[in-house]
Amino acid sequence: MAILNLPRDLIEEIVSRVPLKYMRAVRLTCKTLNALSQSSSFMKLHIGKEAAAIKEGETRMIMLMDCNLYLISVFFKGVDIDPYTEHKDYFCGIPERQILCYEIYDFDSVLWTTLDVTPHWRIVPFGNRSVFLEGNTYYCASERNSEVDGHHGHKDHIICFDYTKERFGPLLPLPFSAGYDDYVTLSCVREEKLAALLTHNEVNLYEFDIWITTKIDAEKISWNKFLTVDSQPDIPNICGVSSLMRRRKSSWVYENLTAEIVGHMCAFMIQVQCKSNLLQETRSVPSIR
Amino acid sequence: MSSNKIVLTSSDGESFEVEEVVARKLQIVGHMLEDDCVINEIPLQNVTGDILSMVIEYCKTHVDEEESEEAQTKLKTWDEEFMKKFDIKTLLQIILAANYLNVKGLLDLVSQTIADTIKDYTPEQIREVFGVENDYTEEEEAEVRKENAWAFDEADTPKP
Repeated sequence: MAILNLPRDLIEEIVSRVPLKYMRAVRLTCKTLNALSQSSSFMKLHIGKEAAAIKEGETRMIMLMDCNLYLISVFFKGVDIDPYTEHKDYFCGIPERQILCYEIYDFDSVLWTTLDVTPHWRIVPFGNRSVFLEGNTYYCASERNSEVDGHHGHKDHIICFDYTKERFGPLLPLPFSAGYDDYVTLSCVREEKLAALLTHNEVNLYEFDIWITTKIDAEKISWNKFLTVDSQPDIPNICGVSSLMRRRKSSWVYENLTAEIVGHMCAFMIQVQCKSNLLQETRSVPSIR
Repeated sequence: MSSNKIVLTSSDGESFEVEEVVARKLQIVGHMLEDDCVINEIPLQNVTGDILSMVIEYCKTHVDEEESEEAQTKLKTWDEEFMKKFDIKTLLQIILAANYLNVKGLLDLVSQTIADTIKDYTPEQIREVFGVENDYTEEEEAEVRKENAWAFDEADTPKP
């Protein structure tokens, strides 16, 4: 009597009770169990059991690292982070320039759906997170015809995606044209405006601009420069805002920038955690209005 | 013959006389009784006597599942002790029987017990216990290992 002699639904019933954290050993046993653990019927069972087991204080997040998509579980208790679990590979091994389609994952049906778009633009990867504002998710984008040597071109647009309609909106201009080495990060202000942070890596590593929208709708966008900061030498190079995690050779660099608005004062905080050094800088900046 | 006794016969001809309430815990029997209430001997083709006796032992214990916390705790402890008696091979036979006889509680219990066992095993141990052959080539195994690398288990995990 071996496990593989059991009917498939019984194998799934058993294996789906193994927490995702321990699934690596199961997948490494043989091809049959590996294939089973990636089938959609199994995923559905497994996610259901995992979802039922969500504990207090636990947040589930999706994270893209090294071309793999991970479903991780994070406990925000002090600085303790107890993250686990791979969920599904994505974009794995595909050269970046060959990504020509966009897919969305539905946790109810546990299926990937390819969106029916043939874009003349591309969402700029690396260090550019999406931001959710008034029902739409905004991404930094560039036009395809501006690509140079297989790299994405100037980051000078944003694009919004409506998850309820599963549709992209038109390409909207950013107020600047960021080069390949510049970082652009989107954030939102008071849940009504979009903010863009540009770090001039190509010109001045320590200088960055923040732009805030004055008007934003489906077809039109206008921006106003909020401030320029020359942080040298107080703040290390900012390559992202709002909980961006980047992987470095032998350390985790965690950079976080949040804007807290109290009345007409605006303060933002930069935290950099590199190995065991925690640097923290808080400064006041002018009011938005 | 008492009207509330049912005889269950295993595939190898072993007979067990149980109370009807216990027999009804086997849903397969419950359905047969609903279809034709005069049955008092039921042959069960897909299960051997030694496995059937264990299923019956489970059903007898779970025959009246009280809702009080104390009773639940007691049952849980009994379940744990009951599961400890069996090796993996027997557990696999019990789960097959529980599936065939349609005893949901036992099916859940055995599935969970096996999953908890797997949890602590290396791939080699899982293969050994379940009689699974490693059919990966070295390259394929390395690939699966890479795909399933934990996000945070390498040397560069931050130590807050």
